[in-house]
Amino acid sequence: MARRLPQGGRIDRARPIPFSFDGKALSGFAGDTLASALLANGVSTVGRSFKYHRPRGVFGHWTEEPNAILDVTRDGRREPDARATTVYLEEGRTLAAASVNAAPDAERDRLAVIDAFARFLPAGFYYKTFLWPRWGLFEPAIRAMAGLGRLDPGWLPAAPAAPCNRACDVLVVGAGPAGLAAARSAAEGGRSVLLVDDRREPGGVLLWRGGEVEGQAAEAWIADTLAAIARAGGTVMSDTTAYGVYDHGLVCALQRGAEGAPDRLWRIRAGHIVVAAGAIERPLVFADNDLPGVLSAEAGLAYLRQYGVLVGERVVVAANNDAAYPVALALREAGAHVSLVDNRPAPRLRRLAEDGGVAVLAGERVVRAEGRRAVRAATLASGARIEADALLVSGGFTPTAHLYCQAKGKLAWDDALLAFVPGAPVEGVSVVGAANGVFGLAAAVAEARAAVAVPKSGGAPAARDPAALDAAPAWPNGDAGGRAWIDLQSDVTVKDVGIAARENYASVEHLKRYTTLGMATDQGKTSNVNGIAALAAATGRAPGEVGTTTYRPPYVPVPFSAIAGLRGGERMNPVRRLPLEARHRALGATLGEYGGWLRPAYYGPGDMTEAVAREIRAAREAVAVFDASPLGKIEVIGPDAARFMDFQSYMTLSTLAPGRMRYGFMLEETGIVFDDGVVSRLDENRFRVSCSTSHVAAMHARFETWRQDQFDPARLFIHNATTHWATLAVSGPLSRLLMERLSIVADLSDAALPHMAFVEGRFAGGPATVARVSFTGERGYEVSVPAARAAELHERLLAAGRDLGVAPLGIEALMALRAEKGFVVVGLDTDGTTMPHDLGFGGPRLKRTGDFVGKRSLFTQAAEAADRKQLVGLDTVDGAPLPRGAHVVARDGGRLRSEGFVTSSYASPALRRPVALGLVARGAARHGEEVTLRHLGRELRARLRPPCAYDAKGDRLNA
Amino acid sequence: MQIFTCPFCGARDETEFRFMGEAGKQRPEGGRAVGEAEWAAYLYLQRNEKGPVREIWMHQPCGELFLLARDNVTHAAEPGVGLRPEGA
Amino acid sequence: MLDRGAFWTASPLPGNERFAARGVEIRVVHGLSQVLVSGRLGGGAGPLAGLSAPVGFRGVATGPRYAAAVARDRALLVSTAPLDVSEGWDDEAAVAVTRIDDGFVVVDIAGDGLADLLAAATTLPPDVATRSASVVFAGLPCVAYRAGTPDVLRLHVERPLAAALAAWLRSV
Repeated sequence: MARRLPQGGRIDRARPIPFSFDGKALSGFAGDTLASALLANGVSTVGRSFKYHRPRGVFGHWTEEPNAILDVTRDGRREPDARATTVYLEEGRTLAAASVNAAPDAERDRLAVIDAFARFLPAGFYYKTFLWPRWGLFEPAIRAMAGLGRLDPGWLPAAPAAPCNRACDVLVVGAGPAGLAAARSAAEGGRSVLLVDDRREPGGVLLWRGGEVEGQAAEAWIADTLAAIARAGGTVMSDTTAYGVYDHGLVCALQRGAEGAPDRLWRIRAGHIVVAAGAIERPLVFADNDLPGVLSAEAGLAYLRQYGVLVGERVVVAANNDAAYPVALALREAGAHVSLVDNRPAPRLRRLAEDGGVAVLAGERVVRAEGRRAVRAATLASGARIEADALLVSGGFTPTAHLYCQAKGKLAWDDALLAFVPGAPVEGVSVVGAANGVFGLAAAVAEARAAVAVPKSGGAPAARDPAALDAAPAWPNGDAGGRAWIDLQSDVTVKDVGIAARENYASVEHLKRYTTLGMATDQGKTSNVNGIAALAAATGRAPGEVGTTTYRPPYVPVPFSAIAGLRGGERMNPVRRLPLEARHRALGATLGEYGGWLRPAYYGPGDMTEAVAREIRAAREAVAVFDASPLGKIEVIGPDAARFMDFQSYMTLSTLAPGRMRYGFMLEETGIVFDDGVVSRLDENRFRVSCSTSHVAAMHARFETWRQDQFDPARLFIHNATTHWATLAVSGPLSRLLMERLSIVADLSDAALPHMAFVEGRFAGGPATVARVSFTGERGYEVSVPAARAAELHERLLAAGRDLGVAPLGIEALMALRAEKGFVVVGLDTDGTTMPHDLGFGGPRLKRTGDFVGKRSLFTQAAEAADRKQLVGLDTVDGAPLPRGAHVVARDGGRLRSEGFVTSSYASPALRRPVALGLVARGAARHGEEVTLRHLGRELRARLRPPCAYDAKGDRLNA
Repeated sequence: MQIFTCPFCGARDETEFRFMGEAGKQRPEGGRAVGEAEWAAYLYLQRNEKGPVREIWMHQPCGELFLLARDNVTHAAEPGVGLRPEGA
Repeated sequence: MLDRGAFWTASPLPGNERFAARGVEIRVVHGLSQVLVSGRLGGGAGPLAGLSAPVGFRGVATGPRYAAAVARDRALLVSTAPLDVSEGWDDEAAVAVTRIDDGFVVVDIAGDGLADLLAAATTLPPDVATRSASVVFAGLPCVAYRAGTPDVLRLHVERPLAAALAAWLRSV
């Protein structure tokens, strides 16, 4: 059983920190990770495996950890699926850890019985078993059992941190010996350097392996190097994982917040990236190698040196390489009884180990770990049995070249190193040190310095020396008996790989998806290469021929909250606000989001139906005020403005006199209606386009595109003045009366201001434009003043109109009013096929001689087809409102065929019956016809009519 | 997240830009005389090449329309080139 | 229907606003005249004269009247005193003029935390030169440059998005 030694480790024994695991109160120290503290307290089982609910203990010591996945609750917040090896105990923030995938807890999991049925649950079982009578019968139960961790539905991220942007000449990833050397070289060479490291303090492998670097003790060398980097202006960021390489030198890094501070995303633009991310130890694979007490040898050393934790009293170290020897010696020195089982017949360091008190069994290998709930002994191939409470495994090292691969680098198999190493250089990326297959310390440091001197070529020739580890092959044996585990987190065994191979899933990408090997939260950091080797053996190939799967970011799990940063709630998709928003709120408006703006839907009191009916009555019988501020006001200015407008618009505009307005459409080149609106001519060289709210940006971009592409941009300019003006639409039979009470300095008589004309005047000391235009069909005025004067105008209107019965008008009421008049809303009553002649505006198409955007498309076969959908009005036959989206149907032989659909539908208090608009084939010629509609299984009847249901002659405009 | 270079504003993140179409597409002249096949090709057909391409992009903050030569496989991108010589 | 007025907190800007955030002080600047000018910049007379070098994002605008470069051929003319310009096409000066005084809300941001704030608000590399003052700040299109001294960032944000800018500055 593991225990804390009375001294040693880089923890602070003066600062104990209490925590709990599965309800048991335990204690650790400042500097402990949750994993080291659990081991120190002798906790053996920390969780249950994903599929079979087998007991599992801590295996590794950092992000490669596959087993110790726990739910961690701190400050009342539960973080599911935390990796115990990377969670630090913190003073003042009590941590409660809970095992996942286990009930009631890891020790006593009820579902452990599943393991007895393992033969029904091999890889890909859901393609083969539980299929009769229906997979759907079993699926809910199986899904409920699957997964790790539990989401806390009440979980809210800590106040998020905004992602930060940074730029540097050289980004060095990893502050181990190679990374530190590279960063120092680059910084002293005058380049701006950022060194990021995912641990709490720089040093990487030196922190637990120690040793001598460039003649100095590791600790001193680290301190000196850091000082030199700082002197040269370099920056070091700890607790920061560079997790992804993207285009054009972008690297994303996650900086973990300490003491409850939120994690922060860093977006780093680097001129050059140096990957010094080290290497991860591979396990050896044998029967029951997943028992608690089986750990990576490197982890065994790290727990000793960093946390003062001895992982066992009787330790077996099983290895195929030299790196395991210092591990064995260190544990022996700490007081454990250590045996080293080396599969190599004549290991070089045998003598050294034996002199240090370690028993060495050469030419031997472990074939089974014995024990029920934890390791009790190791069985060797020879039949020998060694008692042990900890079994440390070292099967070689896999370079952490992920970032190089994400940058489209290709790995190559090095048979001497028994590793996939970076192949051809990638522009802008160097890989150094163990990540580059350079496992010797001195060689790694030297190589790192050299790589920085020649940055663009991807690094100096690699100083890879197989003798650094002297590793011998020790791959998984597919023929061996028992269950030998390759991927601990996904619960994938050697036999599963064999099944995949037998079923012809011979591609490494298929192996991954079929067995789920490498798909868990550890992404196969300790299992991918063993899996590849097993597949290679099963298919008669070399590991290099099998290759690796595609590497994709992120390297470690990254919370969405870090990526989202501040973009939550109101900040995610900000809505545009009206200048008069405060006044609308004060008037009791219910606000809705329309076309990216927050606008009054209707005004209280009462519910929507009452309010809308009241507002409609005011608009038709008295006077109503509508906030039309978001309507676009795009100015087209210059000597070519008139020619440009003629080309942009479906209607001729060069003939529009100054002071006049014309309603029309802008078409796409496909002839489809892009937007409708009113264009005002201010003078010979100046037009103002009033486009619908949701199209303002698109209209501006469209104008700029044509201006720059097809016109002379020196004679034509587009100014978007939308936000400068606030516009209030005053409409109703009493609107003229109300306008006269406003003291606007302008001639508002019908003679000076007929319908579809405008005047410029003054209001309250500032400019004002009054246009006679109406979207309701009643007499109407649109008054525009600079936004800062809007409140004053609104105030005056409502005060002056009180005795007239003035009411504020919301969008919902306006929509009904315009529908009564048959006025379309582009995108609602038109779709991606609607052309202007479908809406009853066929004149310009036939009469205009000059070219304009979309003209040619108005004369294609499709444009001239006889059965095009045309705008119509619809009256219900039985008085019930027609649902929007109901299809007009015709019988075609035995089947129903759609001839069109209802696009708008509202109650109409003025007409005392519902009104609807729609697009129906040949609609213009079918007025009076009764049609059948279908909607969600119901059948309805309606009669087609012209779109305008109210005041067809337009007399009300001048009432 | 790529970096594109607006001829006026300089290097900016790709999210500031909008793809406007393949470069080199000529609007057929002739109004109604343009054949349907030719007009349809103008509207809908794209070369859709792999590798080096020439495209028209707009930098949205300033509205500049420009020519961008890039490689849509390697993502290498040249600096954007204005539609007209500077100063014209 | 859902009342979205409850979700969007009542619009806080503009007013006589002054607030602190993340190592900077933010102040709404009132009373500026703002005019869009396009065309042959600098060739005009009167209020349009001398605009041939509008400032870019890193430029420092000084004096009571200056211009910020919004596009290749467009500038935002800013003045502390009212500007007497006629709108529309000025044939002699070959410029187009449109008033936009109330179209932008203007904020000044200053303080030790300005560099950090910019790192969070923009993706512009800090030392790359740019002629343009058109930037994306906190995800919003803005016109930005330094006002008076290099330590003061002046932002023009379109009025309907001023509340969004305030919300971001308050939470950064």
